[in-house]
Amino acid sequence: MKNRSEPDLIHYPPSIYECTIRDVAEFTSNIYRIRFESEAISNHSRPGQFINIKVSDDLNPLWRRPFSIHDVNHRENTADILFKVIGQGTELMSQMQAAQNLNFIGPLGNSFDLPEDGKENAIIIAGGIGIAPFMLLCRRLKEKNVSIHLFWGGRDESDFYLLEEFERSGANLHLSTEDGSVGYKGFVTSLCEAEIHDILKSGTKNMIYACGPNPMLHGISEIAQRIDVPCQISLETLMACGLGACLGCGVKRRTEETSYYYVCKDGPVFYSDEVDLSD
Amino acid sequence: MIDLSVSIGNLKLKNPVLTASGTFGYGEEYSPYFDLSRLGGLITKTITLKPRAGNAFPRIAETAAGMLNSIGLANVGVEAFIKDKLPYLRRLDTAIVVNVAGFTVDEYGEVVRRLDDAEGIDAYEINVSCPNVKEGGVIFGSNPMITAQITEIIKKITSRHVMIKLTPNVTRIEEMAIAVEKAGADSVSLINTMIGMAVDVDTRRPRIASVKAGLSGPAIKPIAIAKVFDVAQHTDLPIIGLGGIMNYRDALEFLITGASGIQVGTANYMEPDICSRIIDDLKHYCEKNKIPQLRQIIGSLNI
Repeated sequence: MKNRSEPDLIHYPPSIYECTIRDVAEFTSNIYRIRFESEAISNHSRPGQFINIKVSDDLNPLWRRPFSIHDVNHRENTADILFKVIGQGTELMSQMQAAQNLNFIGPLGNSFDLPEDGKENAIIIAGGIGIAPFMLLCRRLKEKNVSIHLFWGGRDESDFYLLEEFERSGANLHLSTEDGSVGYKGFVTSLCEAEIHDILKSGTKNMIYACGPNPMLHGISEIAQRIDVPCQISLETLMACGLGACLGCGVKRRTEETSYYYVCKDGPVFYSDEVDLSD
Repeated sequence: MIDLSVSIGNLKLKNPVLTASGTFGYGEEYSPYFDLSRLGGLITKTITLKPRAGNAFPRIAETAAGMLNSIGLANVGVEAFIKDKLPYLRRLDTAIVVNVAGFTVDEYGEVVRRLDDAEGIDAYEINVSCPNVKEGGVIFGSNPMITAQITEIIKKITSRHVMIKLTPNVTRIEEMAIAVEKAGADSVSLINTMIGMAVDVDTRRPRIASVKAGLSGPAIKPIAIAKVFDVAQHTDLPIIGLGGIMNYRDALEFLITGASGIQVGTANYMEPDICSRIIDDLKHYCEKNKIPQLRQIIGSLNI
């Protein structure tokens, strides 16, 4: 088992921020991107980290909502989150508008380990809105001249957006849909399994990064184990606090049956052999 | 110059604001958000004799103006607490209150005995009211004889302040308060969470793995106020009030009803600096209303 790197010693402390929304963009299938002004996030967050957003000044909904940092822009001092409307919280967020305030806590959580410079392959696998953390990851990988293969699965063509932006960030795209309307017909895990061996041949070192529904991540963990490639997965759970206090966001440790990691403080990024997603 | 200090019996606090157990970790989790030495007191997560992984997931669910939790007293255990968590807390200039639970009557005493050898603890809060464990917890806390027995055992072991945390899941909470007062408790804190339940109508499954759970947040505040009122009417024990406090006005409501101190719980999750803001706002309130000593408003309810 590979140990995750310790948080940076100079790790930027999280804080509570009230910032200004620059732009709210709607893509497809209830997918939105909120771009906000934040020097702290644009300059000090690492790929895989998240922010916890206050969605209402009212008591409903009560909790903040956690979102991966999707992208940052140093020159503009902006950062983006990307989300799908699935409930009350995301519905309220989709109604947010430019020039309004956004109250968030961040940057929170650990981040993806990046490879050393050199001839390496990054195999990124995203299921649906699990694409969210990967724009920033692609940018950081491209800076290190890593060859990036981005496998992205959706139900149909409406589940894809920002494709050109991902290509500009250095990603070679491999798309799959359940209905076959775009790319490979079937699950993204099957597509990945079919193509991964050719990719692995081209590099001396390889790393898998994945984010999506837990059954998909479980499948990818098994593939990674079979082909012996380290695999980092970013998990999504309910969180009441996001800062390690409520102990509501547990994930089973692989090694011990009755022991848990907490996604907000031990994660959200784990090596796939650390956690048990079999339930 | 406004004086925010209060006395909970022999426990002197620089202000009435404490953190509710289980919502503030072991303190350090909140260090990025404000200077924890500003607190009147810091109450830790419940400590048990052995480390506990806690209950199965999902453990939390959001509800109308509140939340359910069934964490199951997940904690590092008393030895690791003393070794790894207490050194940080000791450096803070605030009252350190360690919340303690056991699964037998004697186990409460055993945890306190081990903590009593450690420096830097000002008081114990005794959790006889957790609704989320199969043994002990609310089963003890709804029986006045057992609660009194636990209080007596602990009072024999320690000279530190002993605060008993009461459950609202009883018919007459004042009976519990009277029982622990006779047994020598220094104060009571109330209320712990209300037992609640929620169901996902799509899957028809309970939204919490252990089915029933503890309800907290603003939804329970009026119940908490009524319980503080009932206890204040029937005992002379100092009361620390909690249940759904989100801001200084909620805090004042408890103080006016008869609480000498308050605890902030669920609000810490959404607003991790909320205790600091409540302390500031209480001071502004006193300035604005020309109240030189905040303690003057304790129990000032007009009926």
